[in-house]
Amino acid sequence: MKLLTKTALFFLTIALFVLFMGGIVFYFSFRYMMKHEVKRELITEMHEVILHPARYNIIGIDSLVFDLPVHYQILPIKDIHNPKFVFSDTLLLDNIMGRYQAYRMISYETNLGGKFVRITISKSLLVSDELVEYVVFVTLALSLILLLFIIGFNNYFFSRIWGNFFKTIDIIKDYSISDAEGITFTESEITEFNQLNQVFEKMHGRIKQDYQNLKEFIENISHEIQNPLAIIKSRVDLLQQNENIDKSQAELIQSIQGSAIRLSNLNKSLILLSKIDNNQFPEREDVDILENINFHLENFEDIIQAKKISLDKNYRNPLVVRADSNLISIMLLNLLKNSIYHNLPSGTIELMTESKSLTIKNSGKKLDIDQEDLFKRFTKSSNRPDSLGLGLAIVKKICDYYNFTIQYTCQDNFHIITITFI
Amino acid sequence: MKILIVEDEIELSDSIVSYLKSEGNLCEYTLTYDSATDKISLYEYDIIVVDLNLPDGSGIQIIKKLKESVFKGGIIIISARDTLADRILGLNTGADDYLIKPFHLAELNARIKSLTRRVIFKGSNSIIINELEINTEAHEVYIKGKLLDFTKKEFDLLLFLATNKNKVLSKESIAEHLWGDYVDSADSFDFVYAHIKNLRKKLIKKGVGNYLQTVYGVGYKFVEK
Repeated sequence: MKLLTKTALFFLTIALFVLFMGGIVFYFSFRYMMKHEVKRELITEMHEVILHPARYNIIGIDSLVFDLPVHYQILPIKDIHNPKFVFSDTLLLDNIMGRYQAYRMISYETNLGGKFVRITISKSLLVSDELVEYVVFVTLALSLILLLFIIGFNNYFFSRIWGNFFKTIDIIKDYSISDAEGITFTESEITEFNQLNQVFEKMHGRIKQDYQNLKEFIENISHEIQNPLAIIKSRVDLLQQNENIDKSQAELIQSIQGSAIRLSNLNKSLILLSKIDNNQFPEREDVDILENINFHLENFEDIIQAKKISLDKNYRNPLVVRADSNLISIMLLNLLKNSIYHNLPSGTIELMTESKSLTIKNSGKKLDIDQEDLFKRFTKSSNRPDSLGLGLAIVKKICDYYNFTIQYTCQDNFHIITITFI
Repeated sequence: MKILIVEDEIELSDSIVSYLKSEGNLCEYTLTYDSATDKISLYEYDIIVVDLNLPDGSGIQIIKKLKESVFKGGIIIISARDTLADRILGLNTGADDYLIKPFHLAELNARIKSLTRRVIFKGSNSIIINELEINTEAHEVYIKGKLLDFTKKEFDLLLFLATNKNKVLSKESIAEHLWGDYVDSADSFDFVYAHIKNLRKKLIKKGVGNYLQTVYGVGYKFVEK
């Protein structure tokens, strides 16, 4: 769940709870207040009637004055039982409306001009009920406005306060350890975010240092390995000059020679892979793919002829990419090498271009490895145990480096690799 | 030829020296930058083979010193560094060739000979072995004065064998010399074998003695009778 949604939901829940509880408390206290007000009015009215009974012209008459919403009634009684104000609720028929309405009533037994009477005054609660309803409605409306305001407020402050935090996240998302330049965060007004940025900057520094050390270590190791290899190779060369070598010794020498060469090639390939990882090919120039292929094919000519492979060039359009010519050359060399060395005797190779893509289709034995593992390092077919298993890993790495897409398909006994250049 | 090897790996220096000596060169080696600069200021050399990474200095500095002096010979860099930038730096400073470690001694020898022809014997570009004349500039082979029709690869193969004559050359070193990155170890022997066979056939057909010998299990040898 997003931070914004989470905080919005949190605020809304609290706001709804507070408004609901507040509404209930407000409703009841308002009602109580209204009731109290009505009671006060009724008492004032009663005093008025007792002081000026003549004004009401109702002595001795069982009458009802329609001075809505107040009803006056003075009834003669025989004796005074209870000389206090008595309050009660009642329903009276409203002649105009033709239905019963809620009334608050006060009655008082007294001696009025020598007669015992009970004065009853009823006050309609219609107005106060309406008032309560109105107030509740207004409260609800206000609450709704408040809720909308909270949501808007939340959104606004969210982007203002958390903006720098999201900037930090974006920077870290795009962060690549091999980038030459460091990371720079924008200064925030909020201490915690600045602390977070400082932590990241420190972490970046440490990782960068470790990475640099590791990189140097790998580079040094790779170069240092070449020296003992050079010694082995030269010593074997000298050993081979010996006239008295017998067959089994010759085989041993051959095996040492072969392994030294393999180790050296392995080392070179790994150095290349780590160089691509380290972004050590920043050059960008226009590289003519077809010219490059033709150059390689000239060098492969002997081998293609020796394997009696027939070559079919089907170039529909020129292909030029902006990249490091060295890397492109290595990529094409590896692809062509594969198409030749993993081919069948008297097999075929077909080269095709179509708008932005290059396809190399060659005959060959079916793969005995998973198609998914094809581009992984050290994946090799049991047909060719002597291969390093790094050729396609290098090709893939170069494609990834330039955002080219590479696709492998196998149809019958044909291997098809398509690279789409961007 | 008087050759100086500047290489701090003593065993590698030793191998190079013993191979080049058996080729009839006068050969010395030195392991440090300091002793190398001493030697070049005291003695004259035809060819200097220099490693770029020395414990007490850089091979590049040695080349700079040589270029500032009256040195007229050839310079070959041997280095484990294989980037284009390193090569360009080396060649721009004044080196004539750049060989990446690890290399075959036969390859180094071939490069030294080629450099010698270019730098020391300006103009005279032929290797003459009995009735065989190999013109390295025109890429032509003559037998008793008659031009032979060789492909480029056959020429390269013959030249490589002839410059390392009386030395056993492994199939790997031949394959590496002829095809470099284009050859994959497994198939290389077949190609080398096929090329040797063709070359031998052509030479014998023209009445040249059988110079190309097979050393069983190891490789081939150009034997001068």
